[in-house]
Amino acid sequence: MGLLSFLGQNLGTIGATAAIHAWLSVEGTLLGAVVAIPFGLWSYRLPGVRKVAAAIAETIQTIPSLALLAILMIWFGMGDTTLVVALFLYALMPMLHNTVEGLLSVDPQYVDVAQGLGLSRAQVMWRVQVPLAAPIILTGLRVALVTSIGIATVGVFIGAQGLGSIIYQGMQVQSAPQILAGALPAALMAIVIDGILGFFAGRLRRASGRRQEAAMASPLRGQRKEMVSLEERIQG
Amino acid sequence: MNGIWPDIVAHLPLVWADLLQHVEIVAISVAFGCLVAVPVGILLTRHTAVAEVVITITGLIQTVPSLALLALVLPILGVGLVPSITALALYALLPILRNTYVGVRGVPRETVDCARAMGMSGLQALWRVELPLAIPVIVAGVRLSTIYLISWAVLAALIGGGGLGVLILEGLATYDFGLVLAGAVPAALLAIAAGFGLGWLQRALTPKGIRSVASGRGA
Repeated sequence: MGLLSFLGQNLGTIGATAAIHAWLSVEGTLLGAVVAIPFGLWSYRLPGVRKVAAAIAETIQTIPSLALLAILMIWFGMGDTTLVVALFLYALMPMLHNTVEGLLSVDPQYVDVAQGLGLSRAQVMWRVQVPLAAPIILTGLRVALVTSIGIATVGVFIGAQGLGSIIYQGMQVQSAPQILAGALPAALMAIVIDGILGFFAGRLRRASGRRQEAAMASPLRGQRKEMVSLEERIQG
Repeated sequence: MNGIWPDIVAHLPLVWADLLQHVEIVAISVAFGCLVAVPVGILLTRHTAVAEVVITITGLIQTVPSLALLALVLPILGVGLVPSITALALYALLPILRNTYVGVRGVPRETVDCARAMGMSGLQALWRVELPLAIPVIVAGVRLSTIYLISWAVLAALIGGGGLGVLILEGLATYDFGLVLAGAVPAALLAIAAGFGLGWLQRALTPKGIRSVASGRGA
């Protein structure tokens, strides 16, 4: 049986499985984002907390997917829950790392200027730092989601739904068309999501670049620069 | 949980053999990856037009889910140790290739020009200036590759690759959670240890002169 005829006969099942696969991946990633982004916003200025959290998240990231799924299964049982918990854990590192890196990449001068203009800490965060860090944070989401889609295929071994089940059944009966019927949609989903989020990250980056240029050109910034050079001259 | 630890202990001799095989599979694949990817990565920095294409393709392949890629190996290469090591070795290339390229490209043009102006030949400049400066990034690629491969090698048990994945899959198939953990816990510890070990190596191999720069923001 060829790939096309297999696809033709099972289009409905494959579509439904792909939809479940996508949903589980998104669920795990978003749970990770909901925890990691606020944590990053809070902890980026606390080097101690930041480093410990990064080390923990990175250690989790290192654990082989099937091993983590198997260990989590002891607590969460066979099924989708274990998979989503694992995806949540794997999403923490890229989201946390990129949130912190994004915030640290913002030139402190903008923060100073915004505070000088009378914005509160929260306002500076929401109106200056987060918009400027947004492209990097979005890239974290992109990495997390693409990773999720990949790891979700492994979920089949702990009884989770998703495209892994089609791949694994195909492996058991040694049917290349069936393996491809699961593998191609999973690969395609990862590549398309990567492309779409990459596109948006690029757009955000250009927008934030323009914002920074505008800030550079503002008269306030010029004044500040003069003040700095004046200070240098005094100190020198 | 308490009932599980005796099970793990009972499986220990099996675990040890599978752990060694796991390490062996990963070591062979990563060594092959280094031998091929580092020279090719350096070569690519001399041909940037080709490089853009190659790097894009490797990025694309890395996006494909691991189980999907391994499953595709099955109809093409068949089942066994050799097919799985082949698949793993090919995959090991990607992060190392990418990082070698990025690392060597990242050495400032002026630094290389200085080396040449001091009378170094192109090869000398590469060996004594570009490579030492790029080493942290290259080793980071090797580290990434190793961590990925430890994870992939677990899955490679599906196509007859052996290693710790055998215990996990057998345990899952027979609902023997002791066996599952006997494979999963050592696999997790192996990956964590490799991550730390190679992270340390990365710092140790970073030339003293760029250590503060390479380690990022410091405190």
